Amino acid sequence: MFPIDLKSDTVTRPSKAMRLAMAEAEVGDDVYCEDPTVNRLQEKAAAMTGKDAALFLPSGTMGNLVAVLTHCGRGEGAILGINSHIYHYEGGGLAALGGVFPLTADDSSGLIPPSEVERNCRPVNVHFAPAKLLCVENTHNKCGGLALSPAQMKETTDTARNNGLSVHIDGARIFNAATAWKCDVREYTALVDSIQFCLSKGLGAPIGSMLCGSGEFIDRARHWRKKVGGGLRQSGIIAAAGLYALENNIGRLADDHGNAAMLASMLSAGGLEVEKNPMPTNMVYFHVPEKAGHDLHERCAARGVLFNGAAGGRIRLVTHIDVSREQAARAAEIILEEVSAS
Amino acid sequence: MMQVPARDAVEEASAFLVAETLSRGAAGADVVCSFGQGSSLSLRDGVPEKNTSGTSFGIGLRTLDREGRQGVAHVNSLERHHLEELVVWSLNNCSSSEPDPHARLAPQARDILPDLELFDEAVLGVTPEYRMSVCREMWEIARDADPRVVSVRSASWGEGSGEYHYRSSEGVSGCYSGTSAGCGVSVILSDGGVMEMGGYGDDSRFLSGLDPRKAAAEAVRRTAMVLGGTYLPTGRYDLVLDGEAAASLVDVLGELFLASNIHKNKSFLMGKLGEKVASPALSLVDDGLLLRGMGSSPFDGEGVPCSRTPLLSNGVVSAWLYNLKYALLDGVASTGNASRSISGTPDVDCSNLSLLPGQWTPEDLLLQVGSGIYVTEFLGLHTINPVSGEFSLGIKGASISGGALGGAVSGMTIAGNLKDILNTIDLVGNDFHFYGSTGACSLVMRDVAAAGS
Repeated sequence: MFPIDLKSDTVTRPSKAMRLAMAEAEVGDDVYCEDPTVNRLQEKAAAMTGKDAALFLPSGTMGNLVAVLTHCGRGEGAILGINSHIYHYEGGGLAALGGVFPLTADDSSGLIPPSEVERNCRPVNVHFAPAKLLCVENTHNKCGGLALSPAQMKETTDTARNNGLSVHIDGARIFNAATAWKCDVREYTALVDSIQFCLSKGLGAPIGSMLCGSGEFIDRARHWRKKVGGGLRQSGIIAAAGLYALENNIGRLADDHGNAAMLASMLSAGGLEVEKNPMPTNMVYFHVPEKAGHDLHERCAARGVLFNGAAGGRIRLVTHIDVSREQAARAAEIILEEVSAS
Repeated sequence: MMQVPARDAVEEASAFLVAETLSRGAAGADVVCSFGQGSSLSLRDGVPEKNTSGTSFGIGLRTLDREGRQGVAHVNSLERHHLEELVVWSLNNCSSSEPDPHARLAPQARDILPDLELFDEAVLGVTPEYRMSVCREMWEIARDADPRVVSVRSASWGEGSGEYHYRSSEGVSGCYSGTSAGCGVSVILSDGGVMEMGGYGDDSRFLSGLDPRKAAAEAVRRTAMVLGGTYLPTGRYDLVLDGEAAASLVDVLGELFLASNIHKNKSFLMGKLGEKVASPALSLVDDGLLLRGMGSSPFDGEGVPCSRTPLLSNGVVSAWLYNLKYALLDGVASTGNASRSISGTPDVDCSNLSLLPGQWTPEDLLLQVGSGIYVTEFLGLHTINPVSGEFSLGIKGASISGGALGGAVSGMTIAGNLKDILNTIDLVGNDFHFYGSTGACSLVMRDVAAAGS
């Protein structure tokens, strides 16, 4: 039962079957494009997203960085949600390494509205950094793990394209979004030029992300991956985990969503303020009174329930492949007990 | 066995009755005619106890005068001299009744009657041998399911078919037929000198909709769950109601939405239309047009097309159920919920009443409650006061501890007010099932006062 680790869906450990797939992986030197397992993973990711090609990268941050650097040149602008992961949590890499200028947009609803895209597509003028790229995030981490439907995204992505922009999805958890909306991931990727999705979050692999796009785009992205130090050698060992994840762990994401819904339901029934969003996935955000919040994570950790400390009274719980329904229920009970004891 | 009266003969008779009644001065008239036939078998500890076959036929005539007096009479024959007597009786009853200015006949409906899949040819093909084999199998399954089964008090099967006609002087006429089949098992379990009797039954329009093996196993499972039940300490508990217990509660709730009860001040929901009276988790719908529904029909007892009526939408009262009289009183259209026998004037009733399912499995509900009482049966539901909402009910079931079922519970009572309880139901299961014409799923009631030891 314990520990019940709800810090993130990045904390998952590879299952025995996944480790076996890794141990038995056929490998080669991927910098020479000679790793057969990596090649199979890339082919599968491309097929699943309906794109021509895909590239295996060590992390989602590198996947987004390589995508932005491939789409934009120095001094060009990328429209980013002010709450987006790329803007907040990826070290400012696009500016530091690519000289790409972030054009921030309101994404407080989880989606950058078309008007915000228009606002950032300013006329050609020596004073303005020209917008070249729109980045959207789905599911949206800071907006409670909100899943957007393809239909909800379409007006925004159409607006970007009508203004000559390329569109990239930070789809670290795009399979969660597709699961929530019961749609095919290709309905999302048909709207955009590139997508990055993570193998190491809800899908349960220990490492790795995929960047998918046109053949020409991926060729250039491969060059950028090398430049930022992401070229790996016998990476089939970790690609095998990714392949296993894509083949076995997508169908069960609905369980994670159900577990998160149960956590939310129990915390809410226990009197805590749980954030609601129109299409939740595997995240629960809730608020606790300050007196209960500052060390709540430490007291719960002492009882085997792990999550990050509150930020402004706001606490995030994330369900994943290593949290069962019973564990989710027990975690909620312990959190409620600790809140009421404070 | 009696033959089904020819449809032509019934239509000819009903046309005669309407015409004859009008020619004798009635302002309006309508005719309902029903025919039913069925057979059943019940075994007691594997031995046939009841083996019956029967038919029923009746034709009822309602006459109305210009002041709204209504007279009803019925006979069980299509012979012309009986029909002539029927006209006289109905007119006599009409003249001696009190005027009702809101008595109405439905205007002619133009809708084509929908096919609600109410008739299954396979039901007509059931043989005595089939009945016996099903009953024997249910008896054997129940007998062997648990060593504590000391008697399979009944293993029963029944099936039947029927036809219903309606005609009025307003030109409304229609006919539909349907079948039904049902099976059930009741058992007695004993353990350490303690005995418990219980059972389970199911019914369906279609033969394929029944699972007698499951019914037998369920009868034993449910009875075993409450065998040797004891009190828990008096206190406040979260309750998880299983689907059947929830259905019995939904039945009670349905009565509160009948316009007849609203007008008679027999419902605490009177005056609450559009208001929030329950938790957002609760939504109720009455659907007379449900395919294969046990309470479905293309038109109601007044010839009005049946409909789907949301009654409670996320805790807010959204409609009442109407027949023509109460619809006229409220200035709305009838919802097609007139109930009617061949010997009575129309009233209002539910058709297929459903609690809309939520997202949780029954196991999820247990986990979320953590500790409480799992209720499989209410005792004394008829004692709920529909005006005040007050209740005191016996419950049977099991304790819930650590999110799992524990020991049997019985002899406890819960008390409170339905008005409050409706707002404490915050979780609804996804295990939707019809119990007769009532559809329900497991649900959670919070913080209910329960008296025990």
